[in-house]
Amino acid sequence: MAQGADGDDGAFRILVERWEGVVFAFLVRMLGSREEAQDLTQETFVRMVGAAGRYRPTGQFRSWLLRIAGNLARSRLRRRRVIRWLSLDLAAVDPPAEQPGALADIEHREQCAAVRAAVGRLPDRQRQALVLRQYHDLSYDEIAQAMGTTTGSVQMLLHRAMNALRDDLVNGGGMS
Amino acid sequence: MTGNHHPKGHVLQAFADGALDAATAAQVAGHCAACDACRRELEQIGEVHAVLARDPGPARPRPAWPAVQARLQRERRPLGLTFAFGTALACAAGLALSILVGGGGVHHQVAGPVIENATEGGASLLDIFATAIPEES
Ligand SMILES: [Zn+2]
Repeated sequence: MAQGADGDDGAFRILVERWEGVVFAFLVRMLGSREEAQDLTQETFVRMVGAAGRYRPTGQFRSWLLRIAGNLARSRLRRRRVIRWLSLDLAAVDPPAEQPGALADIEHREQCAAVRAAVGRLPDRQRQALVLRQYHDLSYDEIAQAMGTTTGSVQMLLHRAMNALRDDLVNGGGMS
Repeated sequence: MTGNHHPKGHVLQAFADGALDAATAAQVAGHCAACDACRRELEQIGEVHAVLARDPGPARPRPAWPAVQARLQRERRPLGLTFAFGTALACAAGLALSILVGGGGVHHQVAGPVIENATEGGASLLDIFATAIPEES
């Protein structure tokens, strides 16, 4: 039965395979959990299909898709107010794709953990803007689209996020 | 930012991100060339970006398509229902709503968050492909 995909399913399948890595990476950084990110990646694409008729080709597809994912992430975060990030440990951080050696690996994992924990401590909207800028290379306009806000507000969110991260990671955390 | 005034922090950040228009960027660049404090500020912004870049991101997820397809097959509804819902709301909101509320979970739209300015019947799959496939590494 699952083999009986019609033309649309074939098209959606290509979109899912093309974009799942982007959506998943975004959600991991928003939620701090692979399992939840996997869950919401799936949900994002189900909603993408449902909302396809309302997609405007003039906007960036990427912003539109990440907006769906971002709204899902933020509503998930609102629901679990016991912030998991507070108890983030090394086991929660994925090993890097390449592993040059055991010692370097441990150091790398510690650094990744520190970076992700610091990003995870940001307020949700600051984190969303920061992740979209830093890790997905969205322009300020695209971030504004993805967050349903103005470019000016994106500027302020990013500025505050970067100040907090500077205090946390560079000035306070001794990671430089 | 003109003259001796330092650019505000969010302007420096936008400058570092290449997000300013050319004229403003030129002004900021001119100021920073002559201002140690703002240059140091820019260096610190670069430092934070460098630290953030040490996180390469998560390893790839399990392929999502099998689960997505299974859900679509379970939840797929005739398109007409969605359009009928929108039309009913537009034409006779009160009556339509009371019927829908009375009807409980009948309308269970899969479509997610409201996309502002979205237009009904907007894009075909071809439109989506046109912008979705070529970009991004
Ligand atoms: Zn200055």
